[in-house]
Amino acid sequence: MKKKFWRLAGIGVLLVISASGFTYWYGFMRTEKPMEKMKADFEISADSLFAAFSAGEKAATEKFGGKILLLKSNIVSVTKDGSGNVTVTLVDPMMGVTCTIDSLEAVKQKSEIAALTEGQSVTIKGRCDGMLTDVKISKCMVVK
Amino acid sequence: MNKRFFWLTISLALSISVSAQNRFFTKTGHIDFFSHTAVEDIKAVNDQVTSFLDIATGEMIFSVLSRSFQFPKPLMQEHFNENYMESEKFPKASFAGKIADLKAVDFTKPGKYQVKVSGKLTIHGVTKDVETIGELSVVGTDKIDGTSVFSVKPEDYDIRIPSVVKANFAESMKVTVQMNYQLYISKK
Repeated sequence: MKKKFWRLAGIGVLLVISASGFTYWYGFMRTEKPMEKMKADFEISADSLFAAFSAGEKAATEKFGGKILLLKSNIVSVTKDGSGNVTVTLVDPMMGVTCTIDSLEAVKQKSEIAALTEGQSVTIKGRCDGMLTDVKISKCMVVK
Repeated sequence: MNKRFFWLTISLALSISVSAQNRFFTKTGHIDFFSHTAVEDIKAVNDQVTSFLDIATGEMIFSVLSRSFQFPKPLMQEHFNENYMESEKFPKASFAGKIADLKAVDFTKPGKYQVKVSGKLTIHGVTKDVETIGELSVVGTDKIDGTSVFSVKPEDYDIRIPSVVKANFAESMKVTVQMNYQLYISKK
């Protein structure tokens, strides 16, 4: 009886420690999963994505908002800001699709980004945030 | 408000070819907010701000997607979008206003000019009249930088913070805006 009690108490303590450890990790230590390890929810051309948002922003936001997209299109422009973030514009400079590669990813993908030229076909993976005048894609990486 | 803002920005964008010399825009403007308490510092950054500036009328428009704010910790970002901003219900925040003292700025002469800006700020579906001071830097005929720092109280915009984590948030968030406007030249 006494042995059983201590065994159960030990399991209880282990469970509490595990739960506390998980909570601490989940809340404070968990890092964002890198985009390269994220599975794309949709494969779509940038033209079709912009057309979907233009046809019905609310429905498109519900469908694509927060989702990981694999986008194919020709490049309109590539720019870099003072913080090192790289913006790849697809479809149209104003009303198109804007993909942001943040500064850390831009360092990792230096050679891929350097090879991007206007008019070239590109495949980009990133998270769809929604639409302003353009459809915004963040946390992007160049796939091809 | 979102629909009204969308059509306002589209009409501004479409009219650019008519009076291109007057209108500047950016799609990669920067907004961050910062909260400091004894418990923790919270900072989020958004480098995907769309903004238009009409230097003939002084009209300014800013729009941001809540989902585009980046936090250092994924859990903070999840709470921000799901619990506080309710990003699915209110995906955008916006400001539509005007430079009150436009004559104080000589857009033909490079330099820094302090301006007073007033307008309507919409966050979490709540619109408030706001007024703040900003600085415009005329860099050249095709480039203008704009900066402003102001405070926003979450409770003014009906953003409810549960009492259990209230000590983690400052009463007012310090908001910093930095825009690098370019003269828009259509490629179409």
